[in-house]
This record gives sequence, C-alpha cells and structure tokens, in this order.
Amino acid sequence: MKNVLKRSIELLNLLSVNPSISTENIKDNILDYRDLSEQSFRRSFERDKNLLRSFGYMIDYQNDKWSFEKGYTLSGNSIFETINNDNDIDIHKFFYTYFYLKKYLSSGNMDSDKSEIIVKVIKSINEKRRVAFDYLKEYRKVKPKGLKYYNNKWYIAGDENGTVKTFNLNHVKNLKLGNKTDLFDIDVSSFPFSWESEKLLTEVVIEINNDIYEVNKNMFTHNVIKKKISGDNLNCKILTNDNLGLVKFFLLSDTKIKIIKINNTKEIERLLHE
Amino acid sequence: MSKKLNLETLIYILSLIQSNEKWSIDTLTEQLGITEKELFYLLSIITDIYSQHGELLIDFEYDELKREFLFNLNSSIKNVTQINDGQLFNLYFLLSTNSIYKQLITENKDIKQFYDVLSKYFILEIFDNDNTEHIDQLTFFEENIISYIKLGTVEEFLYRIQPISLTTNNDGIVLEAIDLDDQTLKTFLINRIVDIFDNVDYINNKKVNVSSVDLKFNFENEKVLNSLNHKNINLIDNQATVKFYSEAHALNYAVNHFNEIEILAPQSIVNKISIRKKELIKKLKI
Repeated sequence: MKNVLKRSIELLNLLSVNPSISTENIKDNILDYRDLSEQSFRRSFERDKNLLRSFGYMIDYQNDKWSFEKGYTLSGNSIFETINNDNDIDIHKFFYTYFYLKKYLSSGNMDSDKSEIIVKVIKSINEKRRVAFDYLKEYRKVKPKGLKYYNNKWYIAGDENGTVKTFNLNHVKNLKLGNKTDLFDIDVSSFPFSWESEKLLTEVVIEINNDIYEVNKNMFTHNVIKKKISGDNLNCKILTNDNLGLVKFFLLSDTKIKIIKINNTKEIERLLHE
Repeated sequence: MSKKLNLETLIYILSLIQSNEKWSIDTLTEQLGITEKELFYLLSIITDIYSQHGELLIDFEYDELKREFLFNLNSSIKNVTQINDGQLFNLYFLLSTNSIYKQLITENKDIKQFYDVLSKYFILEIFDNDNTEHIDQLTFFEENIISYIKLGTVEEFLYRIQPISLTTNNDGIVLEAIDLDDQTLKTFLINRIVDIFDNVDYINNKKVNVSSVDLKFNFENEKVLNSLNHKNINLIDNQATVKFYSEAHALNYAVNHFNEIEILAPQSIVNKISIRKKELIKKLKI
C-alpha cells in the first residue's frame, strides 16, 4: 500500500505539470515504474490510476485526431487550479477554510460512477463543452446548462436540439466530453424541469401523520394544492402524474395514512398487481 | 493500517505542511486526526516521493525536545496539494442546503468568502424539499436528543447522539453521529429527523435487538442493484441475496422496488409487503 500511495502522488505530480504525457514518459519519469517489466508496469499503472480515480482524479488517454498531443491527461482538478492561479484569492486561507469545513462536512459517499459523471458535467459547463451519453438505451448529445437537485436525485439540465431538457443522472451512462470549448452561452436564469409544464392527472386527498408525510414525501413528484395541519395530522390535496411513486409513498406510510379521495384508482391498482 | 491513512490524508498533510515550515507534532496530529505513530508512517511515505526532476518533494528534521518539525519543501509540492472538483462540489452542495449553510456561516466571513469563490464554478439549482430545518438546532460535538423515523418504519424513536459531521450518499444528506447509549458511530438521514429536543425526559425506547437480514430476490434489470453496497451482494444469474443492516432496511428496499423484484426470502418480508398491498387496496375502495 505504501508504494501504491507513493506512486499515486508521483503520478499526480507528473500529470499536473504535463498537460499530456505518453506511456513511455510516465514509465521513464517515475522511479518505481522504471525497472518494471512492461506487463508489471501496465498492472501497476492501472492500479494507481484506479486509486486516483476513486479519490476524484481522472486520468484518461486523449487521442484527438485534430491534435498533435496524444497521451494521458489529468482531469477532475480544474476548479482548484483556476482558483490557485487567481491572485485575488488567498489560497492558504482557502485551504484552511476547506479543512475547517471538512471537520463538519465530510466527503460524500456517493457511488464513484455518479461522482465522476457530476465532475465531468461541471467541467463541461465551466468549459462550455458539449456532452454525449447513453440515456435509457438512447444516445444523447446535450449542451449542459446546470445541475439540479430534487427529491434526493441529481439531474442535468441541458439543451438538446434547441429544447431544454432534464436528464436523471441515475440513467446517464458512458458520459463523454466534446473536444471543443466555448461552444455555447449559458443563460443561468432558467432551466425548468421537463415535467413542470405537464398537466397533472391524479388527484388525491389524504390524511396523514405530518412527520410521516415529511420523511416520505420525496418518494414521488407532486404538487400540494391545499393543506391543513391539525395537531400531528396533515390533511392535504395532492396532484401528481408519478403514480408509481405515489404507490410507494402509500406503502411506506402504511398505517399512518388515510385516503379520503382519489380519482385514478384503476391505475394505482394496476401498478399494485403488476 | 487505519482507514484514515489514505491518499486524501496524504494530500491533506502535504497541503498543511506547505503553508508553514515549522510545525509542532501536537498541532499536526490534532489537525489530521491521527496518532503520532500514524503521522510518522505518513511522513515515511512522503519523504520518499520524488519530483519530476528527481528531487525529494519534502524532507524534515524533528526536534524531540521541542516536539517540533522543521520541513524543507520542494517548489513542486504545489502540484500535488490540491482539492479535486468532486470534493469542492460536495462541500458546495452541502453549504447550499440553506439551513446548514446559515449555521456554518454565522459570523464567519471566511466561509462566506469560500462559498462565494466556489459559486462561480457551480451552476446548481437546489430544490430544498427536505425537511432540513431541524439541523439548525443540532449542536455538533455535544449531546443532542433527536426523534428519528428509521427507514422502513413509521414509528419515531428517540436517540441521544453526539453529531460529528454531515455527508452525502445515494439516499441524500446524512448526519454521522455517535449514539451515546451504545457508543457506536451511526448515520441518520437528515430528512428523517423529525424533532430535536432541548429538554426531554429521555427514555431509551429503541432497545430492540437489531440483527442483519439476508434479502433474497429475483430481478430482471440489474439497475435495482445500483443503490446497494456491492460488498453485500451475492449474485447467481438474476437472483440476488443482499445483506441488510436490519429487517426495516430490507423492507424499505423491498417496498421501493416492489414492482421490479420478486422477494423470495425471508418470509416475514414477503408477508409484510403482501399485507401492506392488501391494506392499500382496501383503502382505495372508498
């Protein structure tokens, strides 16, 4: 482990000062790689790359046909680099504040695939690059505008063929960044959810323990039209199209919910029997 | 080796050291949250790292009497002392969740500045749909009594806890805290904390023996496994056996995927799901 940590720091150092570096140069510049056979070097290099990736540093091979520079590049650190080069920012103070905050707000435990996608989306937004990804079996090309967080889920808001759409990050796979930078402008004033203009068809009136509503309300996308709290109970009218989420909400709320009125029982029952 | 002695800690120690040539051992161990033995282990790694030009990245002398380090730093140390975008994003996201942010920036202009610097790089819309307002009332590193609804249940339980940190995972924002009754580190989803009490006749009402449960189920689409810790999954073709912390956690997972998985065991969960479905069908016949 000691050698892996040491090599990873050396690799980070090497890639930080070289925008693009070939495999041969990496082997040549890191002492612990130098004497290894080609096969052992490949194994060690892959392991070190994976360790760095698990801590948010991505090492990818760039093979852009329009560029002379081919080789490994480091990404996932562009924001700090820009901040570090800004003379108006006291970088030591920035570091200390970061470490102070880390005592209370620890690093996330999101799965690494999701973190990696978020980091790539942030880079594409900051550099105004297009992204391409597989989404529910379709290949999409999007100009990203921002990230949205709702109901414990992350969404990418982006322009696809002139229409702003929202893509659930859980379904985004194999996200790649385009080569061209400064490809578009971002108007941060608005990127609405795709479903905001939808007509909501299911109408429910419920009486529920207020705490149980609060802890389970994120199970489904809905609008609360009317609500009245008496003691521990909430009486409210809800509109939604997320019928499956509504069923899960009902099942999780168990004995603490009473359905006063509902207009779409056939669909709810169909989902229950599915 | 302690879990804390990882790449992040190594970068952290390099970042700390580079701001000052002299450090007392007590300050360094306190800042890093590690023992003296662990500190010397880390130093043994970083003093063996070479720059691209074959120079040592860092070297040090230790004065045992003064318990003080004097570091000799190579200029290329700045290349490795960095914070990656993911870590900055995670902090920015947690700070953006209103109630938490308010608590942390109260009378602290450094945190405000830190937040303002980052806001240029992150275009986020946070729909604050979580009931996070209780977090304001939590006092970190002190005793708090919280009312919490565990995943998969509809009952409130009181916990006597000492909060340590906030973090995020696939379920949302999580409070890490020591349960003062059994002195164990636990995680609490903040949107399931329904009350925080200043003064309450505390009775430990959660003395239920929690035992892990193996949930066995068939599935068609493997995306149902995405939210699970892969270490806890045993797979045979399209059949999974997943170890959950408790039956309530397993039940919560089963309800969340009731339309995507067929539960095979334990029978208690098969029955509970079936009862909840039947009760719901009755409720729908208004």
